[in-house]
Amino acid sequence: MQNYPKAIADLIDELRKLPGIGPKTAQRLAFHLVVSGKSSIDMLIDSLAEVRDTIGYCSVCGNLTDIDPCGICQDPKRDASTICVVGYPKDVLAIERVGGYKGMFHVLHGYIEPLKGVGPDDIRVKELLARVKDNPNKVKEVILATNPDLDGETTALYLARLLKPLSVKVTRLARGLPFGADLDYADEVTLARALEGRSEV
Amino acid sequence: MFYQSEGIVLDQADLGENDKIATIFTRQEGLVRAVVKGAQRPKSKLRGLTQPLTHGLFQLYRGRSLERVTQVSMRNGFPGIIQDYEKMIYARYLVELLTNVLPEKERNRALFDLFLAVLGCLEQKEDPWVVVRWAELGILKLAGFAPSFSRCVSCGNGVQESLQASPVYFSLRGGGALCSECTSQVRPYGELIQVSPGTLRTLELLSTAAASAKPSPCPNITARGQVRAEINEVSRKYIAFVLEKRLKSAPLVESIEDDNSSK
Ligand SMILES: [Zn+2]
Ligand SMILES: [Zn+2]
Repeated sequence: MQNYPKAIADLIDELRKLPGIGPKTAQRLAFHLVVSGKSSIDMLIDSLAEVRDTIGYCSVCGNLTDIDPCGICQDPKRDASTICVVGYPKDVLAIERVGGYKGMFHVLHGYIEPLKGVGPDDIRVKELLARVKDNPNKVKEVILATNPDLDGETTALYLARLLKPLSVKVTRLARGLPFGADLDYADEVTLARALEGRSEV
Repeated sequence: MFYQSEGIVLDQADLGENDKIATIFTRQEGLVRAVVKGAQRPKSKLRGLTQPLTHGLFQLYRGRSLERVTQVSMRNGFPGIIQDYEKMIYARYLVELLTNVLPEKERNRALFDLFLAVLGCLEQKEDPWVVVRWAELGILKLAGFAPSFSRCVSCGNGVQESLQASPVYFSLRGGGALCSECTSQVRPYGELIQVSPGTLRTLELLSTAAASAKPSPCPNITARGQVRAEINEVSRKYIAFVLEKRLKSAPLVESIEDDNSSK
C-alpha cells in the first residue's frame, strides 16, 4: 500500500486525469514536481492560472483564443466565404501549420460517437448551421475536415445531409489521408494535398 | 501463442499513448479484445486495418495478459455502409446490441455468420430499416431472447385466429404476443403494446427469416406507416426491457426513424 502524504496523493490523482498519463507516469511527475523546488512550482501555477483566466472559446468559430472573436475570425484578409469544419482546436493548428488555407474555421468540439451516446446536439452543429444560414450570400463553401475514421466520417455524412439543402458547396478532404488517421498527426505535405484535392460530396 | 481467425472489428479505442485496443468478433473465439501496438502512430499499417467494421483474417498473439493483433488481411471494409449516414448509425447500433448480449470469449459461430450477413445486407439494401429489424430479431434469438409472435406466450394458442376478433398485445415481460382471451383476464404481464394484425404478421415473417439457415439471404419484406411505427415501438421497448437499459446509440437510431416517418 502507498503511504504518501495526502497532498502528494492528491497531486497524483489530479495528474492521472490527464490524457495518456497512467499511474506510474503520474507518480513520476508528482515526485519530479515535489523536488523541483518552489520557483519552478510557482511558474507552473502561474501559467496554469494564466491559461485559466485568459483562454476561452471564440464565440464565432469555437477555437481557443485569448481575444473574442479570435484572430482568425477578425482577420479581414481571410476569406469569409469558406468555412473549414474540424473536430478539435488542435486540428485548426494542424491546418494553419500547412499554410495554404486562407478561409475560416469551425470547431465542432467532438464527433458524433454513437457508441458513447454522443449525438449531433452534443457538438457545435447548431452553431455551424446558424453561421451558414445567417450568411446565405457570404458562405459559399463548407470543407468537412473531420478525421478520416469512423466517427469523423459519420459526422461528415451527417453535416453534408444538413448543409446540402442550404445550397452551399460541401467538400470533403481528399483521400490522401490514411483511413483511421488523426488530422493533427498527418504530415504537412499529405495534409496540404488533401486540402487541395478536396472534392464535393 | 499465435492463432488465426476470421473476424469483424467492432470497436477501437486508444490505449495509452501509442496503442489502440480493438474489440474483434472472431469466428473462432467469439468476442476478443486485443491490443494493436503502435496504432496511434500515423504511419501504422495496422491502424487502418483495425478500424471498426473491418472484416478480415486476423492473426493474434495470446500473451500472458492481453492478446495482441499481429497481422490482418482485410476482406471487406463495407464502403457502402461507411458512405451512408443512416447505414453507419444502424451498423454501429447493431454492434452495440451485439456486444451487450455476447459474453467475452465465447464462441458463437451462428451469430458470427449472421452478423457478417447483416453487414452485407445493410450495405446492399436501399432501405436499411428492414435489415436492422431482421438483424435485431436474429441477434436476440441467437442470444436466447427470441420473442414469440405466432403463439400466445401465456396459453400457447395461435394468436392469428384471435386477430380478427379483437386487438392483440405484445407483452414485454412475457416476450411475445398475447391472445385476446389472455389479455382480457388478469394482467400480470407488465407493459403491453397494442399491435395490429399487419404488425404481428410482419414481425413473424422477419423472425422466421432471421432463423433461417445460413447463408442468410437478405430479408425481402417491407413495412410502412402504422405497421412500421408499431414494429419500431415493439423493438425499442423489448430490447430496452431485455437489456435492462437503453443502448447509447438508440437515440440516434430513433431520431433517424422518427425523421423518416415524418417525411
Ligand atoms: Zn474564431
Ligand atoms: Zn392466450
